[in-house]
Amino acid sequence: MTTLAQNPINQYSRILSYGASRGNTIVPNDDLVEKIDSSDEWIRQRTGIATRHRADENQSVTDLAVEAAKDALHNASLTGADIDAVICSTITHPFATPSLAVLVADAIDSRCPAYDISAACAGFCYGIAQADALVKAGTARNALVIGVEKLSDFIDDTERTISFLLGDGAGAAVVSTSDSPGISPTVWGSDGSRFDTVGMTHSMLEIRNRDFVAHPVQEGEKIWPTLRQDGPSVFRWAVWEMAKVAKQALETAGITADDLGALITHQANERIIDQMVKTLKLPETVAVARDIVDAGNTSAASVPLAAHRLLQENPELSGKFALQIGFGAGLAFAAQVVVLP
Amino acid sequence: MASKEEILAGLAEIVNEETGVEQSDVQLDKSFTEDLDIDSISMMTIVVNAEEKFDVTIPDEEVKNLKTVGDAVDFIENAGK
Amino acid sequence: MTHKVVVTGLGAFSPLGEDVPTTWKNALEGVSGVKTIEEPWVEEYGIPVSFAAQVAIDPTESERLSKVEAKRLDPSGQFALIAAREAWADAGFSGEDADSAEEVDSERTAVAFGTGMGGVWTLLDAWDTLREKGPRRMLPMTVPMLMPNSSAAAISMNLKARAAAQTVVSACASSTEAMEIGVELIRSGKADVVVVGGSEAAIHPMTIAAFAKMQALSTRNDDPAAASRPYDTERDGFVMGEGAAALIIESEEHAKARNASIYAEIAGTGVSADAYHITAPEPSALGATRALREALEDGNIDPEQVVHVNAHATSTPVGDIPESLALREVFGEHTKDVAVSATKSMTGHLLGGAGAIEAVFTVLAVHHRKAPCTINLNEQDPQIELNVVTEARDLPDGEIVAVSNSFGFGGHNAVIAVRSV
Repeated sequence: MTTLAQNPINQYSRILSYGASRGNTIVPNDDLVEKIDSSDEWIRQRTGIATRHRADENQSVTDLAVEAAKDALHNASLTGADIDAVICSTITHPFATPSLAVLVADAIDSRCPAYDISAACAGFCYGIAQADALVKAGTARNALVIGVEKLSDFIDDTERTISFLLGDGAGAAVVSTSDSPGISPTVWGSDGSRFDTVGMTHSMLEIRNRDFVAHPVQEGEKIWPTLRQDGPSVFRWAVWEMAKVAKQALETAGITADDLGALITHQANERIIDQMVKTLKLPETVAVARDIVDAGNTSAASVPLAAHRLLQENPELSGKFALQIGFGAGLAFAAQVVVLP
Repeated sequence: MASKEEILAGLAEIVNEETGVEQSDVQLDKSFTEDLDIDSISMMTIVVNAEEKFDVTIPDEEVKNLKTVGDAVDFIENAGK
Repeated sequence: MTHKVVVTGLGAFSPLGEDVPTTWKNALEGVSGVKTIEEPWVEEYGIPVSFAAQVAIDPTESERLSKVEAKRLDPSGQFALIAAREAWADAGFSGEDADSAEEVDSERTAVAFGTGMGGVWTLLDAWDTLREKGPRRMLPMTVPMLMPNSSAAAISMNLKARAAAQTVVSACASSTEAMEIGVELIRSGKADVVVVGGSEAAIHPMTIAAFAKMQALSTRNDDPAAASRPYDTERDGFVMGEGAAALIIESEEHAKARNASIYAEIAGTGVSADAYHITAPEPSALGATRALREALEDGNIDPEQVVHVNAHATSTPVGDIPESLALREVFGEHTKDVAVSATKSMTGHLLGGAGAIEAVFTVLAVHHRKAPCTINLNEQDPQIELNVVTEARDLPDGEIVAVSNSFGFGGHNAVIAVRSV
């Protein structure tokens, strides 16, 4: 009997390189505080954020994604011809279709499969889980994962729950075949019962269906959907549930906190990072990514941006284990241990 | 006099303030206890705030008859006439 | 056997900051939390004292409290829950409450919390509502929000502490007495973990007017930050403060079994009653002296081991003197080597929450070997012969002990002794 031919599977995968691209404008707290009746001190104390990078009108979400992708390729000494899949995680590509990923593939002169995923702040770690699976299944030898956001297009500068936290940027990674284990099984999941906890103010259909005569646009009202969150609820979920997910990722990887070289969490709020360090009982030897202080919260881009910077500032971390964890709107979360390139 | 829609919107605001239930979930056919999971103390708080907002009186013995959001909207509408 | 009691978590929501790191940093830097009250009622009622030490941020802005939770709690309960949640998280438990943290048994987790006045805002708002709008407008949550045990209950419900949820009401000694109860719960084997502390939210025109009528408050309206000045010759009364602090205490075995980091040991506690006067401290400080001696004896502590005192020192002309007599009586010649801090100079007087915030300072002083500031001390009252810490000062290495004193209207005296680990 004839059977179907299969790709030869690969036993191991690894991250070969990271790449980064940051918004071209640095926005300090003082530029934002007036509209939200706040202060630089208040924002620093409560979130750790001093500045965030934002992209101006000359730098699109596509520009950010392509720059990070090319940087990751360069750092891996590969070209677009070597890439077998492009996965973009974004919530700020302004087209529901076609995807942002096809533009990135085109920009690196590739005609490989390319598609977007939507998992917000967990998106990059979701992308790594997918790329890891594609490589191990033999579907791809090299996959390019990009987490990219131009969140400044989707904020309301008078809104106090989340807008002031947000920045723009892109981070990318090349995931490739490997001779030894480089990515642990991903611990991931979702809780759609909490769809309303973080996300957009309203859907596109609500705008289309609105009776603008009966309900005219009020002064200062944003018709365009913008981001908002139920801060206390997200904070508690992130602090308590994500520490459990992080522990589970370590267990699944067969290592302990003492074996880690670095902790790279989604950069949502420095106090969440501090609490996770405490709950995981991380030894002081573990480097903790705190890109948030200068970069703000860049959603899907935050984990690869933080990883990229951590490696730049601490090249000795190369070859060590890093726990990557992303969490946010959905709610959705993903965590894995990787060997740093 | 407030229209049915205005009463519903006002009531949804009160319910959201008191319980955190999304305003869009406060619909006419929803039961306060079964669907919105509102306990008796929260229900009385909602009644007090509704009396204040719509300038009506909702007698305590009437509250047990207000099973759904629609019941409350109808009562407030009629009480205000 | 008696269990050794250790501190593993700290929380604070205070005039110096919305959490412990900020509050402690400001206490070391000598920042005043006292400011002019920007409320219309100061002018409306002609309140004679126009300043206080209000909490650093609006509690509804804390991510440790949701809007719905805030609506169902008096401000005193809001402060308490925020501080307790911070302390719980700081203790490094694996879940957000005793049910979800696998290393804790909820039936062996207790709460012992103090307050001086309970839900005074809720009570008086409800009275206004009754008089202005009648009984129909009374909110059904009024009683559960105003009762003094509502903070302990809120903490118990939220952290799933099922062993006990006790409340101490003994004016400004409340939260130190609550700590004594918490320590006993652990020593007697009735609980493994206790959330102890205290809360107060009584900066209300009525209470300010009433304290002012007793001539207990400073009236330095033109310079609020300089108003709370314990031990200074120019002191003219205490400054109202508000806020909460919480400590996670547990038996040493329990803390070690879960590999917790330990700040310090609560080595001894002492309580006494003056049976003398409803507001004035007994002038020769016999009761305070007994409480202090008892705390040291209870902890098997030689007075010479004590290197730091967080004094009750409220900045009233008469109140600051007897405590110094008690310290001299117990420490004798050694008094000159004891670094005394009067942190109410920065936080104001948190009344029922005072002992708790001062216990947090005392634990951190022992842990970091650093005594916090006493500000506004320009000229020390010659009747008070103490070695006062005006700028954050290093404490010695080796095993050290610090004590925190609290005394309350009614003649309540309570002392805890904290030992380094």
